[in-house]
Amino acid sequence: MGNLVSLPIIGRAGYAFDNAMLNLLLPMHVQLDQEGRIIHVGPTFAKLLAFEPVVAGKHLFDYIHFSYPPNILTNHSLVAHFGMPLTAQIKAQGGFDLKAVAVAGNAGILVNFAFGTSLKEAVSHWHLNSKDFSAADPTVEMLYVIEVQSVLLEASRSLNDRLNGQREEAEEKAYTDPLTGLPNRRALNRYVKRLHCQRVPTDFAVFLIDLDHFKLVNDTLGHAAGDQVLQKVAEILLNETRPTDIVARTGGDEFVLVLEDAEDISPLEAIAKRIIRKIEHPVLWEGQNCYVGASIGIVCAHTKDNRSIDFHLQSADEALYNSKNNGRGTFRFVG
Amino acid sequence: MHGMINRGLQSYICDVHGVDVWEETCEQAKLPFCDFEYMLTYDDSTTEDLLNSFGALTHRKRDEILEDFGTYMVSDNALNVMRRLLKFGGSSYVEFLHSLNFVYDRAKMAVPDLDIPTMELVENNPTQFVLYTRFRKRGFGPTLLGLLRALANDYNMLVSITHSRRILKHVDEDIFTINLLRKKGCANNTPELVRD
Repeated sequence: MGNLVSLPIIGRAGYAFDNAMLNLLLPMHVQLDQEGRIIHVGPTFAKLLAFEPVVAGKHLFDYIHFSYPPNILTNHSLVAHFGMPLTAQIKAQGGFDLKAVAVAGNAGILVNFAFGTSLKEAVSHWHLNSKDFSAADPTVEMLYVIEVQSVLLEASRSLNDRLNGQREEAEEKAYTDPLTGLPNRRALNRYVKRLHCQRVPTDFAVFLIDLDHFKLVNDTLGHAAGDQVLQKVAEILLNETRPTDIVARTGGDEFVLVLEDAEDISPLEAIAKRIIRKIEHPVLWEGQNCYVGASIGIVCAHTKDNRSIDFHLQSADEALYNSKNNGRGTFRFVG
Repeated sequence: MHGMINRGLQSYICDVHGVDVWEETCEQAKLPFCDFEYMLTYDDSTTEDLLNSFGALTHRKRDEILEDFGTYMVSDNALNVMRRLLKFGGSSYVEFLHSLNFVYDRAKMAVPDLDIPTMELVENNPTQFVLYTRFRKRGFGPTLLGLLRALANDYNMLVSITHSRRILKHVDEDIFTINLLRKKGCANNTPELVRD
């Protein structure tokens, strides 16, 4: 190591710091002569240059590149930056940013280096331990914090992922009718709100569907039969709609469809007829046929009207009432 | 007990005995879950229940389990953070022992609610050290015994450690007398203590 000349540095108060003292106080320092040639290297800094055969008298700039401020390329410019915060890298070991500060010593220049944000990587790269740092240096404490923080950050990330999964699951449950798997009333509200938030305004139709004679099935064949009917109806309604539409179960035997881009009446009529025909088809339950029918009230609306789903359902309910009064098993439009 | 410690116990049982044994341990301990969170604090009784059910399952005594756990904590590839931080204490076993004086404060700075014993090292002579530890949780001394032995091995130091326990009013005091025999691989019997 370049420990050939031992020049005491005399501080202003007259204290002499010899190299042994400086090694203890500043284990990552380098002493240069007036021309910038290396006179002495602190023990930890010597470790960083271990792959380089450091010879006293060589120039610091052969090993170190100052990246900030720019253009510190000569001893002269280093002198001009005395006392300022510098950033440097070891040329042979790119990637590790060192912090540095240079001061004038009576014998020449003293540059002290430190690991900044590269501390954790540097410690593992050079197998450093607490003895490589000054006893009065908070590096060890910093390492505890860094290590623990990375463990906790990882743990917190995985915890958040799991909580998020559970939240989505709970939300899914809160928006779903457990019997049919269809969206419920709450989901319907959310769907219609989103529909109104769309950038492009759209026509849409609301079908309010009420089953006919459902109570009879429930009363004569039991709730299990009724449940089977409801599941079958759900299946029929899903088959009659597009993925962008919504089919919701909003009450015991009440279903709501919202169909987007519904400009013309005739396709809506066709859908309503098909739904009624299919629902009238008996559902087999334990060897018995369950007969139900469907009455439908239909509202055509536009997102520009900015009405709530409750408003539309009220209108649809009037049309539904008309259907029921017209002998059931049919549909009516509002207005 | 802090989640980190319970989680460490979980890693130990899973790594050494397998996930099946871990799940059985949790079931026997009547835990409603099988994964400890690093950042939660659990009832001390939870840890005790775990140690009891694991002991019953594997027919091992609590002290034996804890000592093995201490060894595991600083073994390679396990809880690497623990090992890295403790080994950062110095380049020799003696330096490591001296650094134990600071571990409590450093760990508390990083994780304020961590359960960790206070430690004080007394050097009787260059080959004999006595480590006094005090811990509010009772009966965990063997963990430290396992840890001290494992790290001696790690630093290639042949040691003999005797452990005694004093039950004080509020804390357990564990006393470890550590005799350095010699550095491994050295034929002569004189201790070769590297102090740099």
